[in-house]
Amino acid sequence: MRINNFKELEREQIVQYQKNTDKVHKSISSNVGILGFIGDIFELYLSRIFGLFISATGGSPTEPDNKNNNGRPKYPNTI
Amino acid sequence: MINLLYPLLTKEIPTDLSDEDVVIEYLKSNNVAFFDILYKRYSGKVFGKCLSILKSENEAEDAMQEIFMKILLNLSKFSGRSKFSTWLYSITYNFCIDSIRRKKKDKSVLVEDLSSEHDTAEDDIEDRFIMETNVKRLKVILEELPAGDKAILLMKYQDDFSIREISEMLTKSESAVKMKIKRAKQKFKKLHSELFDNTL
Repeated sequence: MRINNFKELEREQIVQYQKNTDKVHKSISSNVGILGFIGDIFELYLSRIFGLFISATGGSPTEPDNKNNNGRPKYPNTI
Repeated sequence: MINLLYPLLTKEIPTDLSDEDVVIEYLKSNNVAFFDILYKRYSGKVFGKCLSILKSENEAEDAMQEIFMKILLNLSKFSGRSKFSTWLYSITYNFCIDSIRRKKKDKSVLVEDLSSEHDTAEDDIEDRFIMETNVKRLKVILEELPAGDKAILLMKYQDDFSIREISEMLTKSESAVKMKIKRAKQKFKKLHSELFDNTL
């Protein structure tokens, strides 16, 4: 088999710097956690933010009522 | 709560999937455990490359964190045209070289001298000589080599990339890459003889 000490160097570095990679892993996990949390918050309150924006611009964030249905129910199967 | 459930959630994940399949599974499920598989497979190698090029453990840690965050946020852009490892190493080398360029405010880390492709330097340095240089000497020589030369030797001898792959990664022509490798090998040989008693 052909000797390649570049590969040997790589193997040594993997063993030698295990602590550094673990440290970076913790840091990445914490960043991912924070990003996920911000994402969840944003998702949870997105509709309210839109509602607030609509209110601020003079609109009504609530559903329009069915004035144009001529008194008929919305779904045919409901009485 | 999620931390408590994490081992249960990850229990079912097969670890023998190919890198490309792990990426597909991650994109389907958004489960970070799939990303962790990729991290475990490549973090040591990526750290080694960052350390070889940047020469400082702290800088290598910062670089690796940024590289993996970049990978995580851009996994959907991985097209699968190349192997995952090629894509990851391409990002790693380019990030480290850019980082040195920013630091030195020098745009010539990998562009230097590529215009004069018809130089007379002979490519008589055998790959075997370079690959068989013992690890201690290899470390010393790599420490002394300029970042661009070091990166290109790592791509060729450590990652076994073809000239075509390297040219795609660095967006250079194949002849420019061949010339760059030739020059890096010459510098390697020169340093070897300067540092180790002219044993050649």
